[in-house]
Amino acid sequence: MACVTATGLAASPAEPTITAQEWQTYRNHFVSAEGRVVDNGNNNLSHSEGQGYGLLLAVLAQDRPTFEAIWSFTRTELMVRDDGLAAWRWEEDKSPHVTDTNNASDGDILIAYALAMAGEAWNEPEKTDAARRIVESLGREMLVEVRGNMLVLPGKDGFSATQRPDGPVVNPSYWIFEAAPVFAGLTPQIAWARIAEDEMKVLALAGENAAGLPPDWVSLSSRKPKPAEGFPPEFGYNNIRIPLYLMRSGAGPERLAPYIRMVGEDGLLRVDVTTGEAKEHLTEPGYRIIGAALNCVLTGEPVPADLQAFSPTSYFAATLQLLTLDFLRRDAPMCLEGGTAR
Amino acid sequence: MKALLRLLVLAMLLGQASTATAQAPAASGETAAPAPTAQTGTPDETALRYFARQGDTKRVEAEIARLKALYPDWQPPANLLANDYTPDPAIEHIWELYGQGDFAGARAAIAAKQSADPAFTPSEDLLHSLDVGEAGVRLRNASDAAQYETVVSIAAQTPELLTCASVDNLWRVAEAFIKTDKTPRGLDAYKYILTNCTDPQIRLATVQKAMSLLPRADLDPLLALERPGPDGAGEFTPIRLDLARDAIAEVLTGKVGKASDADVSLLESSARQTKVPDDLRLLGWYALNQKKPADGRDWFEMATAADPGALSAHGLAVALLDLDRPGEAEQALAAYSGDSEELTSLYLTAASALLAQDPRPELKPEVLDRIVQETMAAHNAKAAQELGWYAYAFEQPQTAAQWFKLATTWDPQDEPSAYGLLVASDALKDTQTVREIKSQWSAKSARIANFGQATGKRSEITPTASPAEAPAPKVAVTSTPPPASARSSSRSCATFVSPGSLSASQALARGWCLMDLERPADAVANFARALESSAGQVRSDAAYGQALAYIRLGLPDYAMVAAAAAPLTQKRINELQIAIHTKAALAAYEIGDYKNALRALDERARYAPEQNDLLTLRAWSYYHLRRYREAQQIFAAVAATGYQDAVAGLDAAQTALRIQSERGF
Repeated sequence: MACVTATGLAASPAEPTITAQEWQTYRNHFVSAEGRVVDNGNNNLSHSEGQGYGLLLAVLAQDRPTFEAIWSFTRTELMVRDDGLAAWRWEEDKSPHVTDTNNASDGDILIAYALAMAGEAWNEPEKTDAARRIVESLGREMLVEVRGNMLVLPGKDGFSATQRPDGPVVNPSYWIFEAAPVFAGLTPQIAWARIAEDEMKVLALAGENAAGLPPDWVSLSSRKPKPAEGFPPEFGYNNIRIPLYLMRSGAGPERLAPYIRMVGEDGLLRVDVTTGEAKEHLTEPGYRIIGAALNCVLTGEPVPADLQAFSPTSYFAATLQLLTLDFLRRDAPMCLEGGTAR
Repeated sequence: MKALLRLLVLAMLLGQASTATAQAPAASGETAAPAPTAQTGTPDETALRYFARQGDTKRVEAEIARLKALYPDWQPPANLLANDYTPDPAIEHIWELYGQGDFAGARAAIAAKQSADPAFTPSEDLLHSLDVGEAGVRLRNASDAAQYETVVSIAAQTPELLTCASVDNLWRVAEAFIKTDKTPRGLDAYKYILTNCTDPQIRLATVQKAMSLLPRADLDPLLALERPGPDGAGEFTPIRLDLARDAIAEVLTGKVGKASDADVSLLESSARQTKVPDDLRLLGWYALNQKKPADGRDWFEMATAADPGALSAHGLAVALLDLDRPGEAEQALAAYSGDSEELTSLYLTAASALLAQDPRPELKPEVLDRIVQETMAAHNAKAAQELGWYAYAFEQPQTAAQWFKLATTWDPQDEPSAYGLLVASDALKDTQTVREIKSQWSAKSARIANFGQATGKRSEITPTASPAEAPAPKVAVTSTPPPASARSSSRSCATFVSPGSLSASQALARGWCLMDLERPADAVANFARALESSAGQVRSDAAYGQALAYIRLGLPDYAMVAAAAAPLTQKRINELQIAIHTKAALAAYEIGDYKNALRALDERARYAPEQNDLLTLRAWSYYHLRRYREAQQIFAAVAATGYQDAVAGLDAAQTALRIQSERGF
């Protein structure tokens, strides 16, 4: 990202990095008329993460109307918490629709990040203000210091050292490193750059195990990070996003290299971190493209052509595919050339 | 007026509203500063004309109200369907989405129109309307999610949400204040509604909302804002009744001791008029709680008339039991005993109390029958025990023993039932059972331990450990001859047979036979042989017989020893004590030992009252001891009954007294 504005935000390129057709397809599958991003792989519920991804993709697709609709829904239905963060879970067939008022920090980060980008891209100061308020809340409510490292907790309730015996517990895939410079521009009083560095440090430590990959949920109660109680000790659906976020944040090969372990012959691997054994191959194109992009960045091998074509399966995979395509088109266009269908 | 309302809302949100300002909006006049959200310029009539063309009069009215609020000087066009107005279909579509509450869709449509036409600027009116619409949704969602600070903050920023037309928002704001410990401001919100909103349903619902969140004391200022309803009665009458019910229910749950007189009499007069069974019963329970069982009975009788059934019968029975009318209670519950465990238990309580009444009532067979049925079905030890005492009182010791036995089977730890079995078994001469009960219970029950011992104190037979719980049945303790059964084997015993050649029971029978022949000395030897028996009953009978024989021989001291040779029933102990002391008194008197004669009579008096013969003996003893005054009193009393022997004594005593006084003693 060559061009960085005064707020630290990358300026939108002239052409959207997600094509109108791709975005139209995504919307048709996963965005309702009322601005609700529907997780079809998860009982059609909605969550702050999905709303955040929807807002981010709408900005990247330069679709203001859809952004407005998703933001209206997000604001009126989820942004009800007294601390200014979003309730994380929303179910259409339940009353009230919000069925868990706890927040999920990845959702809050994505929403704030997308709002900041929208405010900048479309010159709408009120969206920048809304982003700033969320980032201030994140700084006030969600930070924890663990052995000198400042980290973002996964949620307000249930993860701290006082709330569980093996706490604090973090989810490294909730750390969206590319947002850090944007947040720093919005709230200079909070050390977002340092936080991102500390998170990278803990991420590396958490990967020191049989698998060489961090578990999705990490207990930091002792010096050596370990899988958190009550969660499968695995590198799974959460953490497959980490190399994508690292790439998008411009991290170098030494930080990306460990994640090549998650790339299998025919997809991404869900790995038991205690044994290093693969538990499942994730074969949807949206997952495979992350491995292909990682491989390309590390070795120069182009991304196969079939993965470059967007054909959505599940909400999560489709979202990751568009974000990967956005990254490749923006920062690694050479990976998209010379790709051949497998 | 609208501006003024906004000011009041703002004041309310800032916690500055008082009843005075809320009640007297006119005092502030219409000169209040313009509301912060009031618009200037020309209103956007797109929506108004769109709704008019759709023929949607409800939305037209709402839109006129909305525009008037925003533009106080604006007047709606005379002809909303006039052709002089050419609307933009895209803007009409946006208003349509707004009208449907699809704010996201409206936002998207505005952005789409802006993208297509960069010159397009949505009207302030449209944007503001969307802001308010979204804020309303957000306020309700925050309220549902119990995020009360968000609720208050949205309300403060969007006072146009707080109107009588959207009273739900006001209710939610009031709740948010109360839930965040700002009750006075919550009350202000309710007062605002009751001062400004006229819809009777809304007003009633407002107080109901407040009731669910606030203690009674906080409701009074709201109830004070009551207005007369169409029928002239206060519009909150139903609520006041609810409050009265709640207040009374709180007493019943033990939260407070007493309801206010006003609440009680309000519900009373309503219940008398409406005959609502629940209210009648509530008042009945309250009366019982307040220790007014007669009132309670009256309410439950009214409830029974209005709604015969278990609920009414239950209360009525409790009231009747409180009034010590167990017969009526039993009757009231008879049909419902099996309905629930609670009713069964209550029925058996009533039945037990009925059986234990003093004097014992003669129950109709059908009543007794159903008590028996229910007792058997429930395996209720207490009722079985009462049936036992009941049978015992009507001189059916065999039946009594069976009931007591059943009671101890159902509840082996029940001392009163064990005691009942002891008494009945004793009456049946079942010494085996008597001994078993004594060995099992003596450590735990003093009265069982002491049963049958000559304690010198008249032993009272009471059915329960605590006489306060149930009155003691009258069990007569009288001196009776040995039971006929003991003598049934009597046969000729004139010829001498060595007692040692007889079995114990043969010797016992021969002993009684000899007693009948007035040969007590021979009887003593035969009773001695019978005392060697291993059967408790035989030994007991033998000891008794031997003691009687010694008494006939004029050897009361020997009789005492003989009586101690085996456990005797209390009845026999009493009998022997009386006989022994009578004999001792007569023997002492005959040898002129008047002091010992009196002592023996005093001993005897602890077991039985003195009849005229012994009273006369006592009086002569006093006479001989020169206690003339005491002698004279007794002679006089006995003579008054016509007992001739005492008349001479009275003369003698009076003469002695006269001589005494003449001599100046």
